[in-house]
Amino acid sequence: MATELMTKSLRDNRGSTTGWGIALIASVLLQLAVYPAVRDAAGEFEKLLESYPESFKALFNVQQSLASGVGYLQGEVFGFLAPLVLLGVAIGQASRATAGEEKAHTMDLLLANPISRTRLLLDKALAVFTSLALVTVAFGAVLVVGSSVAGLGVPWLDLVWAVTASAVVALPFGALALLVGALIGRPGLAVAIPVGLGLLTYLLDALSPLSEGLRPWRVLSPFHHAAVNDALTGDPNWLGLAGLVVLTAVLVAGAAMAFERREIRA
Amino acid sequence: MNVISTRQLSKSYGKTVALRDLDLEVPPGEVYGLLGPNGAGKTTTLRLLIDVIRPTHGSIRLFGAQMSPRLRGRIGYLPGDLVLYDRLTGADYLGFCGALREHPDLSEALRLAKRLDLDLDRRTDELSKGNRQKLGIVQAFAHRPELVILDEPASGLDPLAQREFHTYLREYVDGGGTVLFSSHVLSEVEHVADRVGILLAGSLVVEDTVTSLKANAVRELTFTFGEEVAAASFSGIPGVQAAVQVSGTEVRCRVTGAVGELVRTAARFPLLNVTSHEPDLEDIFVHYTEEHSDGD
Repeated sequence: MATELMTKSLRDNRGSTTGWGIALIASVLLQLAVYPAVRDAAGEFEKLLESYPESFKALFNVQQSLASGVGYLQGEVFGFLAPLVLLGVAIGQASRATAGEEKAHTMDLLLANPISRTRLLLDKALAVFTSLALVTVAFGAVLVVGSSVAGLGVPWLDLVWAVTASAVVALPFGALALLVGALIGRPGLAVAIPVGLGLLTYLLDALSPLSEGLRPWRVLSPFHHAAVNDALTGDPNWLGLAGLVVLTAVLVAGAAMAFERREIRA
Repeated sequence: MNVISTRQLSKSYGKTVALRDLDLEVPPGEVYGLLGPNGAGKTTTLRLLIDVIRPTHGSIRLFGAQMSPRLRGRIGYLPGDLVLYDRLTGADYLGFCGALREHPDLSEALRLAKRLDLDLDRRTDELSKGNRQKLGIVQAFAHRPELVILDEPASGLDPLAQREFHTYLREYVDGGGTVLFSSHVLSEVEHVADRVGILLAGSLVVEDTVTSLKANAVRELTFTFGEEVAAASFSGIPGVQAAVQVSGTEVRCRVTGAVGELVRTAARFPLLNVTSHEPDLEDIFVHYTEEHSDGD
C-alpha cells in the first residue's frame, strides 16, 4: 500500500504547508483590511502612482487603478504575493521529494521496500500537489470571503479562476524541482534551478509589455499562459492552463524516468 | 537454485573500480559473510544486490529472477549507513515499513525487539547508536523475508546484543532463511558464517569455510622456557615460517597450518608457558593480499 508513503510525505511537509499557508492568508487578510483606506484615498494614490516609472508598475502588476477591486488584487495579491507563496510550496516540497531522502541517506532503506521507483516518485509528487491544493483552497476561501467583507466588488467566480490560475502556474515549477532532484539527487539545485527559472520567466512576462524586443519571448513564460490578470476579469486562458498541466505531466514523467535510472549516492 | 547468484558483477566509478567480476553464489539456508577492509567493495556489492545502484557490467539473479518490486518483498535489508526517520518512534517506523511491504503483522518484529531489549516507544532520534542499529536489524526481519542482506549488522551493538543477534540469525537460518552479511570483524564472521568471502580492492580473493580459512592463516605462538633456548631450534619445522628470539628464554614463532610438530619440539625443552595469538583478520588479509599480488 504505497499510499502510506504519500501520507507520510504529506505529514513530513506539514510544517512547510501550514507555514506557507498561514503566511499567505495573513498577508491577504492584511491587504484586504487596508483596502477601504486605499480606496478612500484613491485620488492621492493615483497621483503617486503616475509618478512611478512604467517598469516599476509592470513589475508589481499595477495594471489599473488601485481603487478598483480588480486593480487592487492584481497589484497587491496576485502580482507578487500569491506566485511567491504557491511556487514556494511547490518548489520547496518537490525539491525534497526524492533528493531530500537521498541527501538524508534514508533512500536506500526506502527503496528496499517492495514498491517501484516510479510509484515512489509519483506518490511523493502527489503529496506535493496535495499540499499545494490545500494552500490554494485555503487562500481561495479566505480571498472570496474577505473580498466580499471588504467590499472589493469582484465576482467570487473570477476570484476562484484567478486563484486556480495562480496555483496552476506553480505546477510546472514544482515538477521541474522533482525532475532536477530525480536527475542529480541534490535538493539545493532542485530549488535553485526552478527558482531561477521562475524569477526569469516572471520578469519576462511582467516586463514584456514595455519592450518590443521582449514581447515575442513571453510565450516561454508559464506566467504568460496562466494569465492570472485575465482570469481575474472573468476570462481565464483555458488553453494556456491546460498547456501548463500537460507540461507538468511531461516533467513528472521525465522525473520518473530519471529516477528509475538514478544511482543513489551512498 | 541459489538464492543469490551473480556473474562477473562489476562496478566502476569513472576510472575507479569498486568491484571487479564478482561471481557470488549463496545457496538457500546459508549464512555467507563478506569480509574485507574499508573500501574493499563490500557495501558496493550489497547495494548492487538491493538495486540502489546498477552494475557497470555483469548480472544479478535473486531467487533465479531479476530484481523487481515484488521480489524486494521477500528480502530484508540493513544498510551500512543506517539513517532512520527521526520524527518517528520505533513502533511508528515498523508500522510504516509494514504498510509499504503489505505485511502489517508486526509480531516477528516485536519478538526480536524484545530479545534485543529495544524500546519501540522512543523516537529514533532519542535512541543511542546501538539502539538505532537494533531497530535497523528489527526492520530487516520484520516481514519474515526469505533472504536478508545486512551491511555490518553488529556495528554499534554491545556484546550482549551481538550474542543475542547471532543466536537469532542462527534460528532464522534454521527456519529456512538465507543471510548475506558484510563485516570487517573476524570474530563475528567466525560465530555465524558458514562460508566467507574475502574482498580486497574490489576482487573476491578467497572463498572458504571459516575453519579452513583460520587453519591456513598465520598465527603466532610464543614459548617461555625455564632455561635459555635458541630460536634456531625451531626453524625447519613444517609450517613454521619464522622463529624469533624475544629474550634468552622466550621464542616467538609464526606458523601456518597444524601446530603439532612445533609444540612437540617445544615440549622437549623445559616449557613454562605458551601463548597463542589468534590470527586476526589483518593477518588473514595480509596473507591473502600477499598471495593475491603473487598471483598477479
